[in-house]
Amino acid sequence: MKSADDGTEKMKATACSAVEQPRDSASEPQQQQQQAVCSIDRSCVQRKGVKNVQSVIPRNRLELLKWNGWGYKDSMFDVKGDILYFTGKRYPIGNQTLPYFTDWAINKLGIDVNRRNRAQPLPKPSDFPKAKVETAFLSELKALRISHSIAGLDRLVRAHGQTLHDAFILREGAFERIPDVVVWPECHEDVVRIVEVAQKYNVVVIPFGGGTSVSGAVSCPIKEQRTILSLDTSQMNRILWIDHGNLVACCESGIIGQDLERALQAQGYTTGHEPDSYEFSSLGGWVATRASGMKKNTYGNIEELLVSVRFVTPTGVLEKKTQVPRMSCGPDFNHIVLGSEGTLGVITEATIKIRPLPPSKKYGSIVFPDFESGVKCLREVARQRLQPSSIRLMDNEQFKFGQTLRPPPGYLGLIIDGLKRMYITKIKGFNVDTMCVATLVFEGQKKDIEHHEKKIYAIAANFNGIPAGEKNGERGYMLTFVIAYIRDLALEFNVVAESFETSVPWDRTITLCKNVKHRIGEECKTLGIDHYFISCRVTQTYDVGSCVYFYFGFNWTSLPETSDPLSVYERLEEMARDEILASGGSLSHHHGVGKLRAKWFCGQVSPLGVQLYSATKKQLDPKNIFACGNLVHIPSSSL
Amino acid sequence: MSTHKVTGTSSFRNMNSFSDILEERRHSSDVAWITREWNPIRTVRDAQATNPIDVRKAVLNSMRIKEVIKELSQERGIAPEVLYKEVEEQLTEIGHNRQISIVRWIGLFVTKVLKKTCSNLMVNEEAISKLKSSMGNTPVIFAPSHRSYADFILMAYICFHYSIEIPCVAAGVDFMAMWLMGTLLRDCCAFFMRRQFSGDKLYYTVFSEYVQTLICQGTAPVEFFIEGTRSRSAKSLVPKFGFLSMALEPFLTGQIPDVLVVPINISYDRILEEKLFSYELLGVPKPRESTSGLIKALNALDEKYGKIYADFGEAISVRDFLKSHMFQRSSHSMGPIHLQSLSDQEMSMIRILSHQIVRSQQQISVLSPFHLVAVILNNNLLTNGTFDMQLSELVKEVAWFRSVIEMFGATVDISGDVEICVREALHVHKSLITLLPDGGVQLKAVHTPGTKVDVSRLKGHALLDDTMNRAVPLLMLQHYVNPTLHFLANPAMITTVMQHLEPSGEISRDNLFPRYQLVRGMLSHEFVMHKTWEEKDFDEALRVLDLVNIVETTSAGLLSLGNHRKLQVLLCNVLHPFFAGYLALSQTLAQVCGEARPERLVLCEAQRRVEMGLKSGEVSHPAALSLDGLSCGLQALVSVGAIHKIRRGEEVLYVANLKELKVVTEHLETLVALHGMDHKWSWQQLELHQSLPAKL
Ligand SMILES: Cc1cc2nc3c(=O)[nH]c(=O)nc-3n(C[C@H](O)[C@H](O)[C@H](O)COP(=O)(O)OP(=O)(O)OC[C@H]3O[C@@H](n4cnc5c(N)ncnc54)[C@H](O)[C@@H]3O)c2cc1C
Repeated sequence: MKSADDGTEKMKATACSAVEQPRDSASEPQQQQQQAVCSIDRSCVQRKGVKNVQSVIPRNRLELLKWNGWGYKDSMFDVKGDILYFTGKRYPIGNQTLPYFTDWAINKLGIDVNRRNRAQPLPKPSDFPKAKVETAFLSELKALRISHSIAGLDRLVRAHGQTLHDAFILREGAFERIPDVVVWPECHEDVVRIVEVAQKYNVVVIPFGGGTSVSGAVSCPIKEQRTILSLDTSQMNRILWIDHGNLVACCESGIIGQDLERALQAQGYTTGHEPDSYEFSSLGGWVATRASGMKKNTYGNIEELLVSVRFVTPTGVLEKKTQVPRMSCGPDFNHIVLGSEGTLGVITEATIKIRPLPPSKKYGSIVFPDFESGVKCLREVARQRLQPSSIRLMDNEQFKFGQTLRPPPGYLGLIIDGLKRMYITKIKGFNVDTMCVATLVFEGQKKDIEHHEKKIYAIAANFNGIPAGEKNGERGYMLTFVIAYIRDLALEFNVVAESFETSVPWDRTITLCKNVKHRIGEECKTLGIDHYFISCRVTQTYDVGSCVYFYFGFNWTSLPETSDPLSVYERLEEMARDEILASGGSLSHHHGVGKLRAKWFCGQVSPLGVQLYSATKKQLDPKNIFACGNLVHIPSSSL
Repeated sequence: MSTHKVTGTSSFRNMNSFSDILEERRHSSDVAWITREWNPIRTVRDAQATNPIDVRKAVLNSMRIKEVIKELSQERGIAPEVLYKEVEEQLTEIGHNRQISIVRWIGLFVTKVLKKTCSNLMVNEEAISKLKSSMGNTPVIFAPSHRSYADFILMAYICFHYSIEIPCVAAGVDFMAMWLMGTLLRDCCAFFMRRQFSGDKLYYTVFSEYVQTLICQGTAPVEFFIEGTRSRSAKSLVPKFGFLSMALEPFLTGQIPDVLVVPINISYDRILEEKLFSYELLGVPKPRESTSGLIKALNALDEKYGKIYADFGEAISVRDFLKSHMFQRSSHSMGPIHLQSLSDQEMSMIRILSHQIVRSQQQISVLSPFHLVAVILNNNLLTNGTFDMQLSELVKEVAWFRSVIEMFGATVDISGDVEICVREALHVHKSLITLLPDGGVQLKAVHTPGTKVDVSRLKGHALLDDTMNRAVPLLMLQHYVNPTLHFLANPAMITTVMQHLEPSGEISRDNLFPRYQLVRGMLSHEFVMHKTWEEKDFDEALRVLDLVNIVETTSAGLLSLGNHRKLQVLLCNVLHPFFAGYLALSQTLAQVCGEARPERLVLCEAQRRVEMGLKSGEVSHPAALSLDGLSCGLQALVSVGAIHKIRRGEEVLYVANLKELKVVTEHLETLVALHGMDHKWSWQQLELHQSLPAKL
């Protein structure tokens, strides 16, 4: 792999004890970026036991990742003839034509495969706004030997996350504001210095991890007049130590999910933290947004995984000086850091729990006659605290959609076909237009899994659920990663789409799902939108409630000329959120507040809650240099 | 025709969108129609009808019932099984049935009766098709006006006709006791509600859970009468919001995404219960509901009842309604759903909504020619002191008044020759009005003197036979005047206020408004006007008054009375009986309510005072005797702080705030006095036609 910053790479590579090769190094080297090169004499001390991890994602992200869409450059939905297919070899449906999916897209979303809106080309260097940054400030960075860049493309790449808004602008517009300078600290001390200098020059700092935010959290506030610095944590990605006796690992915050897992698994461990974005999102990002992983039932959500954290703020470093399982020592300040969304400081290191790899893993699936039965079953499983590592319930729309993401017949594991074979008689009562499917992941000892499975299927039977095989379960999870690529395809065919999520008490789960779908349906009707897709799934279960995840997309061809699809979408999502709140749901289960949902924050935490947050902010960041404007918008003048 | 826009939803409307659904019945087989294959539209698209038994089961197994039983069994030391038994019994009492075969049989019978007694059943078909297109994925509440028992039957009949699922309708338990009727109603989807039950926790829980289950899980519209009871006066009644808030709770607590409320108006040319109502208003109670009473009423079916009009207002999406009032619904996220109760803000939203429903019912009402005839005759009485009028004169006046009231937003069913319409109207109402061979029109004596009245059951003062004799027909006439008042009340209030302005006779809009407010405050119960609409109503009324030359704007931008004297007088006259009644009431209160007195006593005394006033000529219209009117007066006086209402157990007492009461009394005195201007009439001179009706 070639990097623009060869010096650093080499140094890191030689110092690394367990170098791994990136999975795919086929990508062509990008044009040489103009950037300040820093090398030699690193102030970051190599401590004992430190593992350098070779990241899959190069420092120059665009060598591997799309500049204007989700994921790897070689992976996307495309059209061959009249048929959709998925490119590349990374995912199981790669290089396969998808005729059912094509039909679905045509019928459900009204797309015309022959009419494609191509995105705008990569901007030229001259297209970018000039970086607004004092030379004195840059000189200080240089003096500190901190790698940085003011190249337009570097700044653009860090100007956004993965909201529909971001994707839309990248394809056909331009961001009103992008960072002025990007820096790549390589360790905690680098960050401390950067924050010091930024404080001195009153430069705004926006921490940037994997850039997978779906709340507008990493975007620049449009009205910000000060220099904006994007602090890219990707080069802080070492595993500093592993404590085998206590099963904890201390990592730098920039480590990406898949890198972390690969490195730990090589040692027989796992964090078990698998958000759907884990291929690209970072440890620091997880902590900063209170992320949730698919297998939280076994391993816990990020707040349960986090043992301690180093947090660099303009007024000092916040950290716990112990590595104990629990303590009663006043309020837990981890919770100031968790969910801070880049507004209070930078997470540089985190100590997290790790677990031995499970000896065995098994998928499963259950079909239910309808969504209500499915939810009731999940509720009962949760009541008995019998959740396997993951248990998810897809609604009928998603069930049907999932069936379409497969190559033409011959492929195994089709729920409907499979079921026809297996349960033809039992299924008779099932209606293809109401049935839905739950997918399961079991982990543990083989025998325990078998035992566990039996219990779950026995509960399912009480709710008319029928086990539908391992293959279907596995496919469900495999599709998770592929689904994220659909949005880019959709955008090419006049379809705007996005997901949003919430958490909700059990007794309101079903009604919330119904209400939101109803609301969206009614609004689409009013707006004259003929083709839309609204679907939900229960992705997590807890003692007291569940997490519900919605997908919503519509074809905007039928909208009047004058209305802009993006703002129509945003208005609809806003209505959906109001409906969620009115139905007893939360503002967010794991995506966070960001800028997108800031207007509801006060309603969720009470005015005093906002004051408490603001007081904390004032203490940690009196000049408001962490001014990304998430959670509550605090104008710099008021601080 | 202008439409009276308050809700912002009414659209241009005329009789062309109405069709006579009896027309078809007169030309084709009733049996074929009644036995046709029937696939109604439901509130849930493509759904099967919910089984009434399932509804009862769902209620019985609900969380709420479980919890209340647990609570009560601990509180009262009763075994849960016993309470469950009780719940089951209550559910048997409440629960509706859905027997389409019964619906068909009754439908056949009703068709025959309607064809015999009514000339037309006019239904706004445009509105119906609009309604049907909005049905299918939202719970629907039908909120019809309530003027007659016939409303129950007509609603089901119209729904059957248009293939809309027969609504589950809330009926009073007194129906249940009626032999056969109870069962029949139940089979036609009626469910039964006890009269007073807020104190009975178990029953309250069961009933509200029943209603909410119908709303959330049902497939039929839920129907209820927002006025709570049949309006004896044919004026809208102040809405009750207990049932509505029960029905809206699932929406407000986020269990359903929206509810559509459909205001419905059923207007009658002539009401079956007209005479009975007049007695009731005077304090002679209605006979208990009984089947034999009904059969007696059926004898009345030999008579002619003219036309019936049914209109379905634009469905109010409760979500949109709240949104337009900037109300955010998200305050019920804490605690289990079944323990939620509505907040004060939510209750006040429901209050506004209820008023809006009633307002909408008024706006979509249809006035038949007789309503205008009644206004003209009544006005003649109050202006000229005589009832008698020549038909030709009457026709002329009706034609004039029609153009006026259409300006005020009313829909009047007069097409073609006015005289023909008036003659038809008089014919339908020949039991009340006589058309003499010489073309004279006279009021008939309808009270049978010496009718045995069980004094112990009287609700008011025992009125003299002589009083009854004159009051009964005049109250019957007033019954037909009243529906017009919803269009006239606001302009009439302004006109009345402007009658006694300072010598200059000029006033600015901003000075006029508070005076209007004062009068309106007093009449807002009488005419169901919500406080929040004051300004809108005022400006709208001014606008129309300007159009009809009652109010003019001077060059200095001030307002003064215009030259439409005739209409001014009429407008003042229509309000006069109300002011007179309120005045008598406040005088009574000043006299008797130095200390707390029971409601019944106050009403009796007030009636007695009015009766004396009628004799002495101080009071000029017996409508002031109406107990409904006097009760509205009590509400009004409470709301302006002139008296206080005290509840002692079941009993309601009033005590005067003498200082405030004096101010109000003086105000009423000026309003009433001013009125005396053209009166030559005294009560004693009223001649009634005693003979059999002349042939028309
Ligand atoms: C396809 C897709 C699937 C997703 N699935 C999940 C899921 O299953 N579960 C889940 O929880 N989320 C999910 N997300 C959301 C997103 O991945 C998470 O919010 C993730 O935690 C963000 O991590 P990141 O490293 O990409 O952070 P970024 O997007 O780079 O940043 C997010 C926020 O955290 C701040 N931040 C980042 N790093 C630091 C740091 N070191 N110190 C201080 N602040 C920092 C940023 O300033 C910003 O405010 C998904 C997103 C996508 C696009």
